[in-house]
Amino acid sequence: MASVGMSSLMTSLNGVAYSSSTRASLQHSITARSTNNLDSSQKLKSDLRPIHGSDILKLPFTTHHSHNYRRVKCHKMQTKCSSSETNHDADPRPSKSGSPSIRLINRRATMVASFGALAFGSCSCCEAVLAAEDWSYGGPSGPPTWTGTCATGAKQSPIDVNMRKITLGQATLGELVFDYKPSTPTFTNPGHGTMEVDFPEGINKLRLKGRELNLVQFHFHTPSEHAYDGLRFPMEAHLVHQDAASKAFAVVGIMLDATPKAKPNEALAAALQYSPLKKGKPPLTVPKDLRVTPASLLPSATQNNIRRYVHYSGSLTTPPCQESVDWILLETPLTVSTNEVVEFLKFVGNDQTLALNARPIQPVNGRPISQGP
Amino acid sequence: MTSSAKAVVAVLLLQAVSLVLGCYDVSTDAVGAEQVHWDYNTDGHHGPAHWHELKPEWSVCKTGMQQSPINIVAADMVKDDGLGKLDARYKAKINATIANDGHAVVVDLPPKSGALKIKGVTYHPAQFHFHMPSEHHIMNQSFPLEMHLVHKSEDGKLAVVGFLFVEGEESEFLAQFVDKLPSYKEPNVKSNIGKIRLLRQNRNYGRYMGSLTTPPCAENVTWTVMLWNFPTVSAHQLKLLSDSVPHTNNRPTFSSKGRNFHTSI
Repeated sequence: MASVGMSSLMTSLNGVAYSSSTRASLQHSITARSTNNLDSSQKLKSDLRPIHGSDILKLPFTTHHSHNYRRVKCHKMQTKCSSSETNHDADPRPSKSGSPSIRLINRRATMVASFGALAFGSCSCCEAVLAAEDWSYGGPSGPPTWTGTCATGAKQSPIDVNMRKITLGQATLGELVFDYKPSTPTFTNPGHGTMEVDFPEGINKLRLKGRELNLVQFHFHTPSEHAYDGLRFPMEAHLVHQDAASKAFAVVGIMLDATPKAKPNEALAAALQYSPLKKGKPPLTVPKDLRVTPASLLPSATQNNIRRYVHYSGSLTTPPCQESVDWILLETPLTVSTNEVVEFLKFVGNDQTLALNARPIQPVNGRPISQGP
Repeated sequence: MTSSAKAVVAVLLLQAVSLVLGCYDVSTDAVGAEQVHWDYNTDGHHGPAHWHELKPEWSVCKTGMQQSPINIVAADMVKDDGLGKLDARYKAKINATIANDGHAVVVDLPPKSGALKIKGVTYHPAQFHFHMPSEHHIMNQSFPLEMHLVHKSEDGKLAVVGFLFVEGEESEFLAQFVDKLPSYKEPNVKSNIGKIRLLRQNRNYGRYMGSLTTPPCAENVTWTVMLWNFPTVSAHQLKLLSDSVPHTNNRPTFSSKGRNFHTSI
């Protein structure tokens, strides 16, 4: 996909350059088919800014960071786009998606499909979606400018956890049972800092009291997004799970501590080695026999195989900051090597500089924070 | 071109500009102890490689065995469980004055603005100043900005806390005074910037024994370098800070010469 030359990309972009100086609204419908046979149609309505020639080179040539969603392939996709001077009106299709989480998956599918179409020059309204999704951790599109639920939600993440105020045995999720196995994931760089390590459904499971969740992907932040007693750790790993039944998200957050001369962490090392450094680049060649087990991101369990955690209800930490996400923050940090932390800081900075990818701390707003199991 | 080569070219370009504009002369410094001109120009005779020649007392700039800054590398790092959480307490609001000494922007803090305790010795914050780009490197990585919060003990010992900044969101800390930065063109003119709050301390830090990074390069300075949860600075704030000095003002890094860099937690 990324082998597309600059000239064809420019042509494709020029085909839809907007002349309007006002914000136009976009109704954009794409049917996408995901790897897990999640057929869906959806209507995506979003704001976009006009795209001028001078903007073209600033456009990210990839799907934006949406680590919260399943990576889907864009084969068998169909796109429907039309262009006009001021806005795009696509055939709005009835949305089958019921729950917010389904919509998220679909949106991700839309994004990926858009990228595919962009790369092949077959769809001309994709860049508009990309522009609308433009956000970053600093500058004119930094966290204070994030819109929607990011700005209005009252149950946002990350938060500062006051460890002395939480009460033991209050968490309702029960014991965490990780059923993780070695498998070959897909390494992508969706932009906005972190790489994303995606797993096929059904391999890695997290079992909670009466619930089964699938590990969708893991990714990292530096410094840690959550703080314990006001202090942030060098990094935080997010293992994103989705409830098999309700499709609701539950993210296991693990604080990573840097220790000089520590052994490289298997999962983090693989992510650093096999993820494309620049967003939009094709996946690097991964050895066929490479197996990654997400269990290497779990700190050792204490006696009786118990992992103590903090639970609260929050949100995705990147736009669109959707809420009703169960956060499960392991209390014990995991040790990785200092070198890996520096390598990740460089990764976030696109190998040009060192950069951070942590959202600022959000207000707790009286939410209950419990400790389990 | 490698990034380090780019950095060298950038430094040379900046220095060429400052040479064309005329090397800033600090011999008029009001501070009596500093009558000799020194600068960061690596091509001239007053740059870091020549500081030791400029005054007999400055010979340690070359002969010293524990000079700062250093490139912090994993090989020198030692996890030190004895370090614990940094014991630093500062007043929530500190009445500060700002000046430009021709080498850097310096913010002076009044006595008893706080206390930093290291191995039973209490150090009080005296001033902070800025270097661009950073003086310390971590694993060969330079940062766009470094702040040194200088502390002094009753008996004159020095402890400096270094904050490395990463470009990103605007710094609320810097926003307290970044629009009041005095220019190098009017050196040592003090102005009040009202009450400010100091930067928050990190969970993680490192410690080593080093020196002042400017003449007289005096040693036996206890260095604390904040790690990982780096404060951010916006591109606009970086521009304002860089406009306040005529040139880059980072001393090159020194070999650790066997010194350990102790890391906390």
